[in-house]
Amino acid sequence: MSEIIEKVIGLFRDFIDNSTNPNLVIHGMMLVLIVFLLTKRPFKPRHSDKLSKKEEEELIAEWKPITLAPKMSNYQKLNEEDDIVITGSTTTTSTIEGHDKPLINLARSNYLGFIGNKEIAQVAEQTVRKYGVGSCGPRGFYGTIDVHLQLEKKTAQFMKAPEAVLYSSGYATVSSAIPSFAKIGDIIIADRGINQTIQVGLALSRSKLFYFNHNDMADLERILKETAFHSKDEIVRKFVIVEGLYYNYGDLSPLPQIIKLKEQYKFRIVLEESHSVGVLGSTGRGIVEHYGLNNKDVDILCASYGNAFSSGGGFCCGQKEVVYHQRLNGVAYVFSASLPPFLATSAEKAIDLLDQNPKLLDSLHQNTNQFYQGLNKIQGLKVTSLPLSPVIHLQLDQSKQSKSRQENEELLEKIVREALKHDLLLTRAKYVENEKFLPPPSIRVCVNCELSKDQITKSIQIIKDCCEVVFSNNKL
Amino acid sequence: MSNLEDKDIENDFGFVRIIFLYISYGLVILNGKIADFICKLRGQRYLNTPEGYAPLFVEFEYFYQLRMFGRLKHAWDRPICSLPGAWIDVMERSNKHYSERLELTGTTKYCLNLGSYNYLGFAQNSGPVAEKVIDGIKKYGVYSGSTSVEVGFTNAQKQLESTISRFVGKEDAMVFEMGFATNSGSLPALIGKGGLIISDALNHASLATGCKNTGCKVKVFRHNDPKHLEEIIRESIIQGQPKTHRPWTMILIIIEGIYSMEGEVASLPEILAIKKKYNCYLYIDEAHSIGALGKTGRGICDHYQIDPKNIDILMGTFTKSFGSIGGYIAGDKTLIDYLRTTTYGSVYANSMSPVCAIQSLEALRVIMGEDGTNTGKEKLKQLHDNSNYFREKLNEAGFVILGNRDSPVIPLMLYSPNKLSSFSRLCLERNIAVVVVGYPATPLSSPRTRFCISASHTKEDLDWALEQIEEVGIRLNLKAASINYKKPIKN
Repeated sequence: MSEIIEKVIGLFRDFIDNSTNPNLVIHGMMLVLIVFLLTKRPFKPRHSDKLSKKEEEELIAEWKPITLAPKMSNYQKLNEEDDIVITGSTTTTSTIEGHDKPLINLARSNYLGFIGNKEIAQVAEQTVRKYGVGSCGPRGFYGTIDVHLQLEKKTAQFMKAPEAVLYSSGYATVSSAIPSFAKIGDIIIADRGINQTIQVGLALSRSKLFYFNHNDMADLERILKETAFHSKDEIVRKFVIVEGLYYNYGDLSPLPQIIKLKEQYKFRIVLEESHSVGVLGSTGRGIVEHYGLNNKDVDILCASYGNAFSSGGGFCCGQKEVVYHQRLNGVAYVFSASLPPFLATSAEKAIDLLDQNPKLLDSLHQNTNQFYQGLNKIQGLKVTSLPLSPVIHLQLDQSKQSKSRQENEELLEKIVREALKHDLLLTRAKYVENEKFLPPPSIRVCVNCELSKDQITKSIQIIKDCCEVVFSNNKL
Repeated sequence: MSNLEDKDIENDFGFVRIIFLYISYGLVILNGKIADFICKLRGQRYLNTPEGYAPLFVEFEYFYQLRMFGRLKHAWDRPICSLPGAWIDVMERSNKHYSERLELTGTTKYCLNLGSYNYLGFAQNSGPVAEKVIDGIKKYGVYSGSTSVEVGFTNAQKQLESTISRFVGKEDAMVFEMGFATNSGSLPALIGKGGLIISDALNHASLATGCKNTGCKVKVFRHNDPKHLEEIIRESIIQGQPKTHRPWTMILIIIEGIYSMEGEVASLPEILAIKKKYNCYLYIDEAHSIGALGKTGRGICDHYQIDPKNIDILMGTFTKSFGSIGGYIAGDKTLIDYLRTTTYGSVYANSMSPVCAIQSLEALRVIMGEDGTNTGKEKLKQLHDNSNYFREKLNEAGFVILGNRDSPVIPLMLYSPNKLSSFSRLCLERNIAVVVVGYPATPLSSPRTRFCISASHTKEDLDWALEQIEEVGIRLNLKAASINYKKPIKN
């Protein structure tokens, strides 16, 4: 046996020694190896992944969708239950279905009492008599009516900005203005306390999102530092988004500090002033006036006419480029019907009324103060908003709070229901359940400047009594 | 060639036109670049971006705004100072090139309105509807100041909801402040992670925004092409979700009743069959079709004589046929109850102004004949007669028009971007206010003008307008030069 092997090896050696080109042999061996590997059965299964027609049909027949309307959660049920149907409104009161007497309305954001204002109603009536109700078209296609241009001019003057652009809903304003500037690759740094309409705008922008703790400037600076060298060669567009008066918390954003940071870190400020325009500052021009700042430092300012001015629509103001850009790129501006003319003239009249009568603001502040003092004394509730905010959030005191959010909400709802029996219209702050940063449960009281001292005293007393009743029942 | 589909007409316009189209775009860009260069030499800059900041938007966007759109901008945003009825007062503007803003000259022009969506002519400032509206202002004030889930739900809104749900034939409905927000705010509540949206290629921007907002996978099918839709659905169900291959939680098909830029009615019967076969849900945006299509104005279901119960979600707006503003969503009661607490439009947006609700409600009652008159029926008949008359006459004259019979939206193809501006200007000179649309609202190659017919137009108005358009058409050489045929109007 070994002889044969030796012989074969010998022959092999002879062959290599004698052959003129040894490489040829190596090539030959390689060739054999390749042929061997190719003939080997591969590991991959041979049959393809392709489904047969029958299998496809089976898959399709098997597939069942989930139902379109899922079961409501308890929280959703609670929000849906109370059907308050308004049947009429004056500046301070409303009548509702199933209730004889008018109720003092502390639930709507009618800060300056312009809902039911006679002069505004008159202007609205005149406008309807001239222009009808709807504008029947988007701004681009004959939906621009002279009253829109007047309102844009008036708003820009009022806000001391070069230009303003109108949107036909307050909700759509900020959620359309943000994505018209912020795009993929940009950086947005937002306060955790911002309301959901801004969140919608952030989601639509597809930018990189960072959140800093509510009104926490150190946290903002930390994020600014982290993002400062985000890209090497190009400067990235960076936006910081804050609200003037936080609707969900009733406090102010520390704008002067943010502007100081802006000088250092070079970002743009987007300010949402829906609840601070017409409320803050000595003449109602919002948070910028309140702090005595320069308008130019705020790059994009969005607000709704729906609160202090009690009319429809919203606006965004800023430098010329900011506004022109939105006229082509703000989706809700370009693709939506324009604001009904009578709402435009109502808003214009409301601005006029505020300008003519700055005393409205004094009485708003006095009323806010009276509410704040009175509500603060109620056992079992705590006021979490600032004394100057006409949006007052009443949360349950530590002693009355239970662990589950749902129980707290239900307890607050009981207070609201009880108040209804005493001719006082209140509301819990309601949210969509899957909101990113859900604020704590609260009753939201919105102060109105037209309320008299007696009405306020009475309201506070009612809330106090209702709390006592509800809390004592709750113990049993 | 008479068996050509609409899509083919849009594309079939010969090489010469394509070449001229690109030459004209090229010239505009070249012209803009030269103007840019001159500005640069003069030391003017686009944006005053402060040192250290990133520019607020990409430079090309500004180039487009200033040098391309800027040259045509006089054709859009024309302010009016009257009711948007059959005849309007258009405020004239100075037309200086490159001025950033067109200045009002202070004069007005009395024009026939072929642009507003006033289909049934409810843009009125007098009459029974207007009187009810004014009563409403006195009763409610002009605004609600709260959201629908809190205390913004007015009695007017309640009545409107029950009436519109009866009108469209669904169990329940809810209304919103703004049509755009109805779509963009409600879609995220309808469909969540794991769901699939299949959307028509030409759906409105509000639907696109809503889809973007949902965060789920969106697939697009070729405009009004049920075959392509079926292919996509089959493929999607078989493959499941991307990467994980888990089955989809649900599939939602989104279409429109009348496509606003095409004037075309969706092929509902075919799409409905597919929806049923594959267990998908169907969402129809009836912004332009509600009140305009069908013998009783009940929209696309009425047009095809389909039971609305077959469709899961019917959405529409009050802006168009009803002369108001706002939108509604109609569906089964359980669905609407669920949506009331979960859509952004009802939890975060203020509720519909009671005044707008009353306008919509009263207009709706007129259409349904519940006001005890025949006005609604007459208006509907007038609208259909007007639309069909105008469409036929344009077709006979040899213009290339799109869309179906009965649709009040009548697009007329211009094929060239430079004709956009000329057509609009020439019509305005002849006292006709028209809407022209180009890129990005339409494909780059098919700029068009769009007529919106109203029940308030008289036959004399339309005859006169046709005469004028004919003259403008000859001057601009619009009559299907390379396509020498007349196509029968689709039913």
